[in-house]
Amino acid sequence: MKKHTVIALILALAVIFSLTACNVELKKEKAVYIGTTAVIEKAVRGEYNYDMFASGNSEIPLVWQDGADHEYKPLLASYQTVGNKTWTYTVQQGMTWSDGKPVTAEDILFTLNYDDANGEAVFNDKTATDGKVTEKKYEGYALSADKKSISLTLVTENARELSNMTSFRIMPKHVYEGKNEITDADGRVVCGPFVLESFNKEAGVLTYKVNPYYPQKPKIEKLVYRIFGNEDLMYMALKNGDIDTVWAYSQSVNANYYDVLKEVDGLDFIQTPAVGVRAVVMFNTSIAPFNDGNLRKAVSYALDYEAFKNTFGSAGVSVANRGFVPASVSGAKQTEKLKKDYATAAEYLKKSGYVKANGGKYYKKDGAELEFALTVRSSNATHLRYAELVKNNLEDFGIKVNLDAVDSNTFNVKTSNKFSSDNGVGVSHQAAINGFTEAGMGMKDGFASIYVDKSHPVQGGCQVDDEVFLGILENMRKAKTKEEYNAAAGSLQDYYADNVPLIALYWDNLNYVHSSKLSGLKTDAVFGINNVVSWLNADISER
Amino acid sequence: MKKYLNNLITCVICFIFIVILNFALPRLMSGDPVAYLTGVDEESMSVVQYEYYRNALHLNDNIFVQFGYYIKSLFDGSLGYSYRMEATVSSLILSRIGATLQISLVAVVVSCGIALVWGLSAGSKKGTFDKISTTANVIINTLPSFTVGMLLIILFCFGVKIFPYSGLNSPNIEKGTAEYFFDRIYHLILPVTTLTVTFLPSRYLIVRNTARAVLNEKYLLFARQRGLGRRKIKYGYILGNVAQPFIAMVGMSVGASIGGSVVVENLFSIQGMGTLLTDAVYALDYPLMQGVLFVTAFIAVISIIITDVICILTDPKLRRARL
Amino acid sequence: MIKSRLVALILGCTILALFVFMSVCPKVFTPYAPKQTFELWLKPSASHILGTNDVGYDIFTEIVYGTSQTFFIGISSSLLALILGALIGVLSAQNGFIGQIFSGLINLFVMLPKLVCLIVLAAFAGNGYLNRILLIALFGWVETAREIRAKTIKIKSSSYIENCKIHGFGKIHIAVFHILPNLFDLLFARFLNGVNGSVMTESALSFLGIGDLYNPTWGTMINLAFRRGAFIRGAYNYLLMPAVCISLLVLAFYLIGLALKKEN
Repeated sequence: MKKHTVIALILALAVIFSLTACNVELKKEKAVYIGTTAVIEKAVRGEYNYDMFASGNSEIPLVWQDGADHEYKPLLASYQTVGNKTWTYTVQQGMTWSDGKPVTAEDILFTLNYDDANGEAVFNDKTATDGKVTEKKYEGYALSADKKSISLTLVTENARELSNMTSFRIMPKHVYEGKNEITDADGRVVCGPFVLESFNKEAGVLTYKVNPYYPQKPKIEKLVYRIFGNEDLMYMALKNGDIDTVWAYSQSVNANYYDVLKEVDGLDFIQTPAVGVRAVVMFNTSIAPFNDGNLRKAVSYALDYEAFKNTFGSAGVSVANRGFVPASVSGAKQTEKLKKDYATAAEYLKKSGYVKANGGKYYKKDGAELEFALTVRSSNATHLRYAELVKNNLEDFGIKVNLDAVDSNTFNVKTSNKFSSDNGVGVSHQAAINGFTEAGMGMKDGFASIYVDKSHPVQGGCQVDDEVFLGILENMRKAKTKEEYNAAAGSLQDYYADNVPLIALYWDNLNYVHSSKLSGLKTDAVFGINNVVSWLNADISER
Repeated sequence: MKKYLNNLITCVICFIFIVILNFALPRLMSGDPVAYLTGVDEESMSVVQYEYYRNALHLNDNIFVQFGYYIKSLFDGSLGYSYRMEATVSSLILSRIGATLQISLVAVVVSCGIALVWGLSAGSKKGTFDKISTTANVIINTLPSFTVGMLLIILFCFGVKIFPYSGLNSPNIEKGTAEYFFDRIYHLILPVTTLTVTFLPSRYLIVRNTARAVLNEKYLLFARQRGLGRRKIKYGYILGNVAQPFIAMVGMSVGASIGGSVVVENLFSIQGMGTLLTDAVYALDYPLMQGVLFVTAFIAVISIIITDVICILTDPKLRRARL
Repeated sequence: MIKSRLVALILGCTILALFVFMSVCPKVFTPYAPKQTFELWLKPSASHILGTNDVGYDIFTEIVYGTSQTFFIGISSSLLALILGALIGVLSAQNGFIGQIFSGLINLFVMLPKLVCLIVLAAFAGNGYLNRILLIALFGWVETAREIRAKTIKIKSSSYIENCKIHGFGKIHIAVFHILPNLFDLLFARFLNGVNGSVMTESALSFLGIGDLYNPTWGTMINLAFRRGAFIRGAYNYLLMPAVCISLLVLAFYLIGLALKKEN
């Protein structure tokens, strides 16, 4: 009993002590507090989550894509191109590593060679165990005499090469050359305006201080990131003023919180028209029942798009078009708007032999009910709600839906080529709920094709491989000018509208939220609000 | 004595079984563990890398060889290497286990302590104190752990803003200072309280019921008739009978506490072993999953063994038998 | 019956009856259909007793329709656990090898960290009613088995069983006709207790995200509330009411068990 009394006394003392001790001193340094739900383990280059995170402050990529106008602009390097085949990158004046050594084009070359040595088809073709050959990307390079520029010649010209460079982060040659293992400290040598000062894993806090060698001086002195396990609590912290802004990759504020945050004094929003699609219904077009185009079209006329718009969107929400790609994407084509029309849906079902008996609940063909399984990530509460509403809508119409809520692992196995390869079964979902970021929509051929194209090595959830589709992709790849590309992209959107491999449940703006005291933020199309240009411009007034 | 020896042997067998189970369970899940090493958004992994990882994870070898590597990893202290996190499993666990133990062990000590005192007092005599205490505990027992946590958050973080609602430390305090230490305690109060309140009622009830059962024994009646003070009876006689089941209960509650810590870590955004496990499950990180299961089971079994040993040592019947 | 016991019994039965009615005839309690949508996040009012949630469902309606879910899983898993527990308990009380094996099995399960194992098993097994019932029963039989074992051993050594053996009755005959009837009240008490355990385990699992999300149990409702922003909106009705229901149900079973317990 004594033991417990003593423990109780110590605890009481501790409480009193910490309550009276002022543990929040007046901050003398200008620091910005950012909340995030990203999970960071070691905070060293090479950790995937950390690299995505650090692209916004320390491990800067070659170029960035402005979220406001979607143009590519120089960051670490400026660029020039001859015929979209040869690209020359010149390291900007004054770029220096945080250990004092200057950044040169040799670092770019070193990184490319490093990737090549680790199996990526950069300068050499690579063959897989099943015989599949990945063609090399570059056929040659040339370093300038002053080592400040490097010219890379692509094997095939690509007008969209810069989109790959928005996440190309270089490694310092003088640190990595010849070493097999490097220390944590070495792994944090960066060339961005900020450098990691400390990583308190237990508290979930990463603190960045200004990199003295960076040519530009930011107005703020520290960046402090706080990791939250729960989105709700993170937004509460924002509401209470404990943090100044939030970051979750390129996702903006979850529309669920938008109306609450809008009411809070002291919070401002940056709005950009969306280029990603947050709520997607993907169909697997290679297996029943959705290998039948009539069924896909029927579903597209049976959903209540107005209800989706009202339940999930923020201020800028709108009903999507059949062409899937949001209107604000450059090259987007005006296709027919999605709408609920039971009569049209019933007609499409009839074409495939499905009829609903009078007084019956579901459409039937040869006595069998029309039903399918809708796969959704159980870890994403918002996706669960999308799936729920889709099921409600379709059941009201007369199609039976079974919700298949699975963990992330199983979801990936069912909906992407890369993760299903081990099973030998391939992509096996019938329909799935997904969300596409701007980055994902723009990858490879662009316009969300990686999610539709059966041959894409990583995604390919819709499993489309018909000739018309592949022909359009071919045209997109061969396009030499923006006009040619947009023309091909237009026919892709027409294909989407006619064949419905996937449906956009709604379009919404991106709303980035920040405290009114924080100004000067810029949005990046790939990284959202956590990007280098933001932090170089940002300023924070007194708390 | 024989009974306890049997118990110890059972513990060891248990442990072996758990080791085998830890190995088998993750491998029953479908999916390609190698695919997770580069994440979903990156371009496909090259074939050389893929083969490298398959070999490193020993996925090409048959199941017995894999088991052999697993056993080896247990003995050399690394508990395997997680390629996804690029660290040995033991280092990952070590960095997180502090948080989990800080919450669960403290909760065990506090809840068992309070349960002992309270249960003894209530069980030692019949009356209103007992009735009220037991009723209160029964009602609290019906609240699931996350409800207790949420209530505490609502009351003490949003209602009256005394305590922080997430994390283990405030961001701007230097590590290693005394202030850091007290700040940590400040942040731990609510998680520990949640676990304590969740587990206290069942422990209180065990102590109280055992005490109450003893109360009816004839020798106690005799002692009271002889004029022995209430306190002497309580701590001399009743405690002695309660001690054995109590110590055994403490041992078993450590395992339950670590499990309960998963919910609490979730609620309070604390990076502990519970969240490490759920992450590992999501990403099919075999080595990490095995490691966490192993460590959790290990701690649970060890605490049972320790408390059993304490039982043996403090059991007067056995002590006398040995003389 | 003593007054306090009577009070407990009446209270317990009333609450239980209320919930049983809710699950059998939900339409009596709420005019709305289960998936009917209204405006989002409404505060409690006359037309919506507990307000609405993040997709516009009436929360009270969700609770009413969730009653049958909770009951179904709670009762079926505890029945399964009871059968398992009784079986293993009796078997482990036998002398000899069989007794030792099953005793060892009981000890093994006592030592396994319950929630941690459930998480991994749930990820492997996936969702679905049968899976969840099996999972909950998988750890729910342990307490029952231990108590059955203790009581069986006690009975076996009592004099009238010895008498039976002297008379020459077979082992199985003794087990079924003499031992088992004496276990009935223990079994019944354990069943009530078991339902509590099942409901708590189920709510813990659904809080962690494992469960049928389309037909939510009360635990699942709390999970969704927690992840869909109930805190920031101060929608405590959404967060706490399902928990209150869980508590009331557990309390009801406890009270009934208390009232019916024979004084030793």
